[in-house]
Formats: sequence, structure tokens, C-alpha cells
Amino acid sequence: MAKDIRMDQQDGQAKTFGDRIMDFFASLFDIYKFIARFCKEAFTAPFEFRETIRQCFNVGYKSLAIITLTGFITGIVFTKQSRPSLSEFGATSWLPSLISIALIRALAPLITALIAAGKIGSNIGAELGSMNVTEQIDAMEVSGTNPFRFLVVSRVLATTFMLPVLMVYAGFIGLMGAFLNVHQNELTSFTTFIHDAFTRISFLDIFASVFKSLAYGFTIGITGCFLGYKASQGTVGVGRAANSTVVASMFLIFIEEMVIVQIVNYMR
Amino acid sequence: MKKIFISRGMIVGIFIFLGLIIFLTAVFTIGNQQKAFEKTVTIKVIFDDVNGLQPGNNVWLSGVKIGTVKKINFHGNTQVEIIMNIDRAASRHIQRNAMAKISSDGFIGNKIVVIYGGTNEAENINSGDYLQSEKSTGTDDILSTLQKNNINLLAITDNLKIVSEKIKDGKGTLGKLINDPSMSDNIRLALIHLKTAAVSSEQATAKINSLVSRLDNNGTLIHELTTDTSVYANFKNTIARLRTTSETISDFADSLKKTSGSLNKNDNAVGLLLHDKEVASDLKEITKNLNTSSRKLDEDLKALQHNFLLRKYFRKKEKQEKAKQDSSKIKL
Repeated sequence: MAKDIRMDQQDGQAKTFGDRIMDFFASLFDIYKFIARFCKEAFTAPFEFRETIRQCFNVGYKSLAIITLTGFITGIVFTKQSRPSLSEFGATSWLPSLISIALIRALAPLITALIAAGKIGSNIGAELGSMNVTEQIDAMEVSGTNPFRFLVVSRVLATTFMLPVLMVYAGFIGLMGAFLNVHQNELTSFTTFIHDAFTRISFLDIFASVFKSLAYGFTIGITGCFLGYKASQGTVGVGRAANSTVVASMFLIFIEEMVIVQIVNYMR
Repeated sequence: MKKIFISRGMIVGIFIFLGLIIFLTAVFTIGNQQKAFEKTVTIKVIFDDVNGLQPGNNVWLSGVKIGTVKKINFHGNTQVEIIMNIDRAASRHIQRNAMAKISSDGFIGNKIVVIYGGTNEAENINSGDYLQSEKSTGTDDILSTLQKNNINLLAITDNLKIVSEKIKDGKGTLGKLINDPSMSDNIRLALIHLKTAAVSSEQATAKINSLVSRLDNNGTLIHELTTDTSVYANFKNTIARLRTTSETISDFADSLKKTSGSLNKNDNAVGLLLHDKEVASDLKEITKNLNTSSRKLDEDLKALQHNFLLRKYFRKKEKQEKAKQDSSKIKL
């Protein structure tokens, strides 16, 4: 399919609307096949533990700094921006619960996913894309290594399982940032802040956020791997794969957010 | 290379471990707040209107959160049944005759169920028991009352408008007071007079003070009365005697009153004399007769003096009187 698209572009022939529709459905089928292969490779031996751990290190630990900074700033800024509206009602004591609802239900998973899409997704897309255009993947197949298992499964598993951990960190750090701001203005103690913060949070909220992070992580990993694995046209294709990974991941994340929120609200 | 892998593996392990700790802390915090890991009893209440109460809202007893609303079901056609999970330890403080009402934690806060009342004589509540409900004042009721207040306020402001217009037009006492310039002059004069009266009263007070201070000097009656106990005792005795005297006078006056009352009646001689006209005319006739009789008696007595039987006696008496007169002249 990718070869067909390349040929069309090389020939300079303009695609009709019908061709584009057909390309879209063909791409969907490719993605479906890619995901199905991932599921098959992920649950069959041998497992690439070392590579998976290495990817977890890259995805999780190396993203901790930026996630911490982003979460902290989000907590402070959100608290600061919410205070005037609540203070009009004399309800600044609601800040902890408001912030915790916003952070745990939406902001922490979403911000973590968007940061990860930008940092990790583009990294995966560019890395696999460059490996593909330089035929390193073909070389791995020749050498007897399963490149899909080694490159794709390890990365998708790493993003899928590291995103929830990063989300938990982001939520915690965001709450700490919010606490600093609330303590500075309302002199609220840490115990009271934590008590108020978790007053309106339920198990459903926290498990929904974890589920969302799993879904976002899987989306980022699978999108980056798919677009990188299918990259072509040399260095231009590598850049396009990295860029497309970020755009597609973010787009899919927002769609998933909308769908999951609807499901969770139905369950609430 | 192996050393690097182990290092990475450890770091990833620590990273995941810390993330799990934070996650579990959050889970246990939520569980603790929602009493999810505590033994609970189920209590039910039936309300006519739950005012937007939702599952998960808190249940309070004496201002302490003791549980959450588990489920809300319709009961019958119009009523609503609330099933609440109450902490087992707290349920020992709820009696079967306790009441439940819908309230809110603050003016715009979340809805809560408040359990209150109950007497020690009643049994403690058990799982599955129903509590009695009380209709609480909802926002609509408050707004309805506020609307009534608004109508009253409107009427009051209308009245005030009429009053202020009358005052502005100089009608009524207050209007004249404000608008009539002569009133202000009168008030000014009255104030001047008041000031003068105040000065006079001040002077009078000073004089009274001076008088009182003089009365309080040694030798004055007031001072002796207030300080000397013997004077006070004498004064007391005098007062007692005066009281006795006044009582005697009072008795005398009573007697006199009775006597004068008797005099006004015709059932006694004096009253008859005073008031009966016949007796008065008889008495007048008697007096007239007596005058006539005495005149005649006088004539008779004069005639008797010339009687030969008594003539000697009268002459002798004349001689004795004459002799007495002569002797008195000689002494002089």
C-alpha cells in the first residue's frame, strides 16, 4: 500500500476523492493488521524482556522530568486561574476538590498523554522510520531476529504500561503544585488539602484515569510504531513519520478522551 | 553492558514501584474517605422529595460524616427510597426513633442526609431498618419566602414613597416640621428656652445640693435623725404617741359622727327637738305659756310680798342687805 502511494506521488498524478477514500480504508485495514500482529506477537514467546525494560526506561524514567515540570506548572496555574471564580462565591475552600477532580479525571491523563505523544511518539516514529528507510529492519529479519517483536512489541508495551505510571506522577505533582498555591493563599494545611482533594474523587475516577492512560499509551506506541514501520522516501519520510505520529496520536487521544468520558459518565 | 542493563532495570523498577505507591495511597485515601474498607450497616429512609441528592453524597450525624448514600430508588408512585451505608461504629449512636432530613453542606454545597434526634430509651438501629424522614426546606421554599418578602418590601417602599412625597409637599407634622421655616424658628427658640431651663435647673440643683449639705451639718434635725440613735428613738416615740392621739381623735370623731347622726334622726328626744316641727311649735307654745306664767307668777310674788303673812320676812331681809352695804362703805 505504501509502495502504491509512493508510486502515485512519483508519477505526479492527482488523486481523486474516490482514491483517497479507498486509501483511507486501506490504511484502516493496515492498522487493523498491525494491531492484530502486535496482539499475536505480544502474547507468544519468546519475549523481549531486556528491550522492553530498556524502552520502559526511555519512555518512563526519561520522561519523568518533563512530566514533573508540566504537572507542577499545571497544578499551580489551574489553581491560580480557578481562584477568582470561586472567590466570587466565597468558595475558595472548594479549590482542593475542584483541582483534584480536574487533575485526576482529565488533566493528568491528558497532559501526560500529550507530552508523551510529543516526546515519545515522535521519537518512536523517527527511530523506526529511520531504521526502515535505512533497511535496518530488513537486515534484522535477515539475521533471524523478529523485528516486529523486538522493535514494535517492546515499544508499545513500554508506552502502554509507562503512561499510567507517568499519569500518577503527573497527578501527584500537580496536586502538590496546587497545594503550594492553596497553602500560600488560604493557609490550608496539607492534611486538610488532601482530605478535601479526595472528598469528591471516587474509585471510578481513579480507575477510569488509569484505563485512559493505558489506552493513550497504547495509542501513542502503536501509532508511532505503525507510521515509523511504514515510513519511506528516505529522510523526508522519517520526518513525516515523526510529525504524523504526533498529530495522529494527539487526534486519537482526544477522540478516545471523548469516548471514554461518555462511557465513564454512563457508569457513574 | 550488563551493568547498564541492571541499572536501567532497577531504575524502571523503582519508578514503577513509586508510581504504584502513589496510586495505592490515592486508592486507600479515597477508600478511607468513602468508608469503603470499613464495616457498614444499611439504613433506609423514604422521602417525598430528595432535592437532587445523589449516590455517593455524605450522611452526617451531629456534624460528623458517618456514611454515604448508596442507592436511590423510587418507592411507590411518588416517594423515593434512599439506601445509606453507615459506619457500624457510628450506628451505635443512632436510635430507631431518630429522624433523617435532606440538607446541604453550605449554602451552595452538596446535598447531604442529616440524621438527628432519637432518645436513649429507644433501641439502636440495625441493618435494614427504616428511619423516619422530615421534609426539609428546599431552595424553592426559600425562594418562595424570599418572593413574599420582596412583595412586602415593595409595599413598604410604596408606602415610604407616599410618606416621603407628603413630607416633601409639607403635609403632616413631619412635613411641616421640615418645610415650614417658622417651625425651625420655633424649634430654635424652644431649644434656647430649653437651654435656659437647663441653666436654671442647674442652678436649682446647686442650691438643693447646698441645702442638703447644710441639712447634713451637725445640730440639724436631719443630721441628728440620721446619726443620733436617741433622737431617732424619741422621734419614733413621738410619732407613736401622735399615732395614738390621732387614733383617739379618730374614735372621738366617730362618736361625734354617730351622735350627729343620731341628732338627725327623730327616734330620740334631741333629734325630735331639732327636726320635728310639731314639737318645735309645742315648745314655742310652752315657752310662750311659760313666759306668761312667769310674768303672772312675778306679779303674784310681788303681791305676796305685800301680804301680811310674809311682809315681816321681806322687810327683815331688806334691812340685812342695807346693813351689809353700809359696812362695806365704811371699810372703803
